Amino acid sequence: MAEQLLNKDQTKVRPKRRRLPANLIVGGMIAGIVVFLSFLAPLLAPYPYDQMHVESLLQPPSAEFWFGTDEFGRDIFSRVLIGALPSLTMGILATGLSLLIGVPIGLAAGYNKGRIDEIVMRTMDLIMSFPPIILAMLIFAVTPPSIWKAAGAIGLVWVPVMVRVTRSVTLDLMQEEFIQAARARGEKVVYILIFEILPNAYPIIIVQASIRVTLAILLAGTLSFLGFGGQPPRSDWGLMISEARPFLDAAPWIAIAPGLAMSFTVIGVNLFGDGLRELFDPRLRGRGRS
Amino acid sequence: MTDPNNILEVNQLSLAYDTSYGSLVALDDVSFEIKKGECLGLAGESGSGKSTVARAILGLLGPEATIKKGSLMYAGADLRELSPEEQRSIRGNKISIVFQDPFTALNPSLTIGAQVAEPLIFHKGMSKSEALEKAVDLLASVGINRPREIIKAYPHQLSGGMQQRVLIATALSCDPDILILDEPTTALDVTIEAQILDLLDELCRTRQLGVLFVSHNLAVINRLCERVCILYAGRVLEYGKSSEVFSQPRHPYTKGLIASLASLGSEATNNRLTPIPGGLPDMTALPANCVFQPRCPFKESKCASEIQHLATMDDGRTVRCWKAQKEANLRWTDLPSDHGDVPQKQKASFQPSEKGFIEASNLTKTFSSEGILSELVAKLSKLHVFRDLQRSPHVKAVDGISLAIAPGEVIGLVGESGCGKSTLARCMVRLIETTSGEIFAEGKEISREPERKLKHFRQSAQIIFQNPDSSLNPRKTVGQIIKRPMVLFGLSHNAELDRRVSELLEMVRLPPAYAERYPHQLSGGEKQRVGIARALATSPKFIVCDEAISALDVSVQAAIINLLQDLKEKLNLSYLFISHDLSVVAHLSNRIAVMYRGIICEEGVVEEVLRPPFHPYTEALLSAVPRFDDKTAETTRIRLKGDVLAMAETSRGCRFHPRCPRKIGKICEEITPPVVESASGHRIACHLLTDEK
Repeated sequence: MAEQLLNKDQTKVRPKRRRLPANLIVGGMIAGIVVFLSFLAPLLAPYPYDQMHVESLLQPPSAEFWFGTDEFGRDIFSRVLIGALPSLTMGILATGLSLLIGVPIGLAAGYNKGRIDEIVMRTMDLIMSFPPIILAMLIFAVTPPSIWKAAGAIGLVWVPVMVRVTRSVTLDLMQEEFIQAARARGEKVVYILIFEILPNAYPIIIVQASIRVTLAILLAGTLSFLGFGGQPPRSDWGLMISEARPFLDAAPWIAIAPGLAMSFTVIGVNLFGDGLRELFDPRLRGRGRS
Repeated sequence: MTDPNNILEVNQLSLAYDTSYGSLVALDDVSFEIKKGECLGLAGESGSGKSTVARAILGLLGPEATIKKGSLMYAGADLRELSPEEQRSIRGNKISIVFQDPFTALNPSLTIGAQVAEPLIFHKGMSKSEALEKAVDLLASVGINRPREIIKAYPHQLSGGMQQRVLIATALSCDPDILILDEPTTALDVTIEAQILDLLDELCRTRQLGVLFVSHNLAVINRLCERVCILYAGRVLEYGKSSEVFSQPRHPYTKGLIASLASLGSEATNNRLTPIPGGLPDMTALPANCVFQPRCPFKESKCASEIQHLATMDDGRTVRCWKAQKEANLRWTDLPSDHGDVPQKQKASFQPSEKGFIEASNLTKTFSSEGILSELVAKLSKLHVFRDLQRSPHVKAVDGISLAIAPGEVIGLVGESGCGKSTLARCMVRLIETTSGEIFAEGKEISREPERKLKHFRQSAQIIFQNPDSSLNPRKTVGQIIKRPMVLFGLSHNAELDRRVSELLEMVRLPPAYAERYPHQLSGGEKQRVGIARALATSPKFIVCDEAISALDVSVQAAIINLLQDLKEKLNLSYLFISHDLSVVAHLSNRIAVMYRGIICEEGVVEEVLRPPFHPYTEALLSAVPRFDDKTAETTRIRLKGDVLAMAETSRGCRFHPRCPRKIGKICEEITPPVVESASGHRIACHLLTDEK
């Protein structure tokens, strides 16, 4: 009776075939291009990244040197290409590490409001008080710099961020009645965390993660800029910008090219993250509501 | 202008929203007028366009809304043709609004005084001290005691009822001509609602205010408003004097709404409610001409083929139905029912022959402060040096309650919010741990059993929640949601699982195809049905319904109540039915337990609880419920002062004594009243009874 006779158009309400969000496609393409280029950089680069063209120093972009040359006459296009891999590795490693440790802790802390939560969160506050740059610099001051260590340091310092984000979503979700319903039928904690809470926490975790990837790329830039990343003559976006500083007036393209590459990547990753969020949300799928 | 007394006239207002699906006509040809000193009720279910009307009058519509046609005449001028400055000086000044939820309408970081004074400073150009002076008067005029102290308080320090009074005071601050109230009592308890309605009634008369009272609650409108305008899908379907509209509804929709209400009248308790089939139409694809015809049992082919105009009846009201005059006296309930196979409920004959299925004995639940730091502070406060630090109080939400529910029995649990109803229910299904006391399920003590030994209990006791939007995981399909309990308890497997899902969906009267849908694709009533199906999936014997119908529209409520009733009879379920709505509780339950501040103050068979002798609290609750059927109660109406939370904890005597209208004297303050049980098992905890003997 009653609501069977819905006057809504039945076909209209049906879940539509999943259409990929535009964000996901564009972001995925950009991120894909960046990843593709970074791996094939040695093959694609027109010149070796450290080859100096003494006759053409500080040349503006031209057919010969697409993005111009730096003060040593090195081809900036080649250097940007080569510099992509370390930047990306940094972003993904650091974020991956913080996710891997942070999300489970956040879920557990949010679920067990009370003593466990309190202990976890105070520990996290402690870790949070380390500025990532200082920690990385500290490590590099005593041991030889390496991208793995930098990524590890940044990833660890970011664990509290992931914990906080995950915990706050979990705390909110714990109030939801479907969680109460799961507990009322005696579901195991692990089931509730993984199958009831996590899928609803995805959107926020994903957005946070994509922001973190970009921040890590920028941080890697900062580290290199400060001289703790790749060492000259290696190429690295941050290092390139750092080296370009004295020539900003005369040859701005030296800084602009790696800067643009960084922005391009950041935009791509952010769009991709946003697209993933939409993909996972049934409410946004195929413009949902009847 | 037709009548100089008309302070606001809405004429043939049509309004459309631009959405991604195209233009959506939210209001079509809406007309009404408000006279000085009169209260007009605007009634309708959610999505009917009530709030859109209120917003249009106040100019609060977003940029995606356009007024296509019509006028909003205020004091002889069309509000829409005034300049933005003129509009601003009228809106908020001469026309003001009170929103639904007092808990979010006040800014939590400003004092009450600042918030009441703000419009005075802005519109009247008063100085701050003048404005605060005026604020004190205003607060006093809305019945707030000690207004001088209250202006220094922050919103969180006030109860919901007080906050609503403050909002009304703010709205009145510039001496408006028109006050718009958008569901002002929906978020409040029935006792507080009664206080607010009394206040509005008085303000309306003494200040010659024109009030537009927007509400889904017909009984409240009937209590307060002289005239009522019934809105459906953005169209006025019936408009006239409330007394006539509610006693002799002419439009089929109004007839349906009234038939679907549970009523406290004793003769109604044995009948089934009559729900209106279907739900609100899809606003982007409205049915042709009569918007109500897909749900209308009286419909004929003419309904779809002819444009329906608002026609004036012989008694002066207007109705948008061509059959209104002809079939004025035909009632919804006279129609042949589509559920004739369901046996009439025989409630009176219920005999709890067996032992209680679930039984709470002397149950206590105390909430204490949480967190290491606050515990530390609490410990420190015991030391001499820190003796000024306040130890955070322990709240006794449930204080020694014993309650038994027999198989097939429905116990209604009523009380104001904060009285511990939900806590008690959640303790009984072991959602929260009890502090002390015992719970027996089928004779077995389970309150201290570890989770792994509770499997059988978990399967037999389920819970249905209040909020349909929150009770289903938005990431899962309906099918997945209903399957999970069966998988968990290994009740059925593989192919059989899908069959069971269809069966359960059918049981809650949803088409099996719904298994593929996600919760956001369902309406509120449908979601609640899925919630019920999920609870039924484990084949439980006992279900807690925690305000399970409160969030639903009236016409849908009736369908869910009927469903719960049918399922109970079919599956011999027991319910613990929690609701703040006494009429619904009375309709569905065998016994009623009235809770006040963690104890049960009256308990017994429905018929006995609803008639004297009463516990004074039950009497007050009953008297606060707005009703259609009796007008005589007006004179004998009992009003409780204050509310549950605002009262200081009473450690001795009867908990209710600070608010009790029938307090005897010292004995109430000092001695906890004994529970007096009559021969029929009607229990009341009050000194009045022992006194009379």
